[in-house]
Amino acid sequence: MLYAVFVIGGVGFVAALVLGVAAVTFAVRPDPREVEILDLLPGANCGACGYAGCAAFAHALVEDPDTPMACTAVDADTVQRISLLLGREIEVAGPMVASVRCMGSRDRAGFRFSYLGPRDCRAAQLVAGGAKACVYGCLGLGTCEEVCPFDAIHVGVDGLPRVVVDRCTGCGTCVDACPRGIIRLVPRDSVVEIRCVSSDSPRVMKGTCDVGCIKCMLCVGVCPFDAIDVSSDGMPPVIDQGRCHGCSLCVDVCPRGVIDLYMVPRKVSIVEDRCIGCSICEQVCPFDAISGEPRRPYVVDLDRCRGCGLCVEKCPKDAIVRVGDA
Amino acid sequence: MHIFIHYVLLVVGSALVNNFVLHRFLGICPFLGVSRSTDTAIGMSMAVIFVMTLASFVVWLINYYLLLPYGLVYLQTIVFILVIAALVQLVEMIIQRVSPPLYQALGIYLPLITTNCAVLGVALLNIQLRYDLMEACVFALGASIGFGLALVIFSGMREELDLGDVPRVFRGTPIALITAGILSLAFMGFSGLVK
Repeated sequence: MLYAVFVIGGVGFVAALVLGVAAVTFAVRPDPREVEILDLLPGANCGACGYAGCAAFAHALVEDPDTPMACTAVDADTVQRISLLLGREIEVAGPMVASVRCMGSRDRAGFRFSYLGPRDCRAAQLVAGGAKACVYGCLGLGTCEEVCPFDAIHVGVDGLPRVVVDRCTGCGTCVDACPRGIIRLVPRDSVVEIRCVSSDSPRVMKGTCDVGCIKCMLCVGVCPFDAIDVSSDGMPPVIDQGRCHGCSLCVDVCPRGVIDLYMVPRKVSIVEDRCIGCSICEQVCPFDAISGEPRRPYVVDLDRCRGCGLCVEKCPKDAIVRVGDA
Repeated sequence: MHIFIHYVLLVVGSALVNNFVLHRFLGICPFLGVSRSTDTAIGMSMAVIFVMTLASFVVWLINYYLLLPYGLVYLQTIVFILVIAALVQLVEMIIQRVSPPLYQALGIYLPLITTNCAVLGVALLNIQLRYDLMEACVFALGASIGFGLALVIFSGMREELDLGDVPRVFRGTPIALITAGILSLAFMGFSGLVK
């Protein structure tokens, strides 16, 4: 009996001793930055970044300088601190949101026949190419609503889906489910979107939809940032959200009202005591909304300012702020 | 030469004829758990081969130089578990320091093996079958190779099954268990090969 106690206790003690010594001798000292980054990451190990947990992602950030900030759960402040730790700018894959590119609601776009089958767009699409008069438009049977794991998209009474931006996580499930490829993902801070994917000519469209793009290309011409891409295959132009500054000139110029505004552009104003009158903002403003005399504080004409924010980016003194910011 | 043939027969016997998974039904949980893809199955097999052989060696020494002299053979199971667990932890620390690539390759499977019944099983069988130290190590090597063989074959079959047209009620674990049974049947063909 006593032997048993001593042997088991002894074996356990020796094992503990060996492990303890080994833990010190063979300790792997990770890059201290890795530890700090791991502390900053959410620690949920959700895997959304594509790595096996937060530790693996922190390791990748430190080891490989090309690793983008793939974590979807950190805020901008944390990203800032991580990039400080790494001593380099890290590319942020910003949050995305689903965007439904059709405005052909029940009253604006007609139907060719009455569809009585299963209430599923994918099934409806198989019956003579769908009941909608426009073969590109939204069928409105709510397959996107059904597949959405976050309850973030709902078909309204007008037969068009609307995205609840606060709930949408940009997972892209609806994008894959839509049989007509109407939904795409855009950055969450997008301001405008061309809501039509029809390549029909204006003549065909006359009988099918009141709010289809007629490919007049006025928006392409008016965009001061060259942010609207012309499609070669007869599709409507597409806004490159990376280049779009949200001035919404295109919204005003579109004769069909197909370009839709997500957010009201935020105009700018100049903080007088910080402005040194360098005139850079006056030169970059595409709308001639800023004027003044050199070496004196410049002023913004709020009627002309369209909130593109170019001047905010260029001002060397950070003297230009968005109206509404402190 | 004679002794060499003896060892070869020992390996064939433990790997094929008395396959640990398919004949003795040891280590069934990792057999079903990590057989979803061939990559993980190979990782697991390598870790098992390494740990099983090492554990047999250490545990044999413990048994004959510690337990037997003090008449504590009835404590075999608990002491073996203790020793194997500590050993795996130690090995993990050393590998992490000495060879990070190997550590990455073995990954999560190394600590998982701590509680693998096949490792404990081979340690106990070594004693039951009265093997000497060399025989015990060779037997463990053969047993772990057999485990790896079964695991890799099974993972290959499961990868194909994912693509196959399996009746709805059989999808997932049911068809995996049926496949494991058929694989076990196939290994029965080796019985009688080595006495």
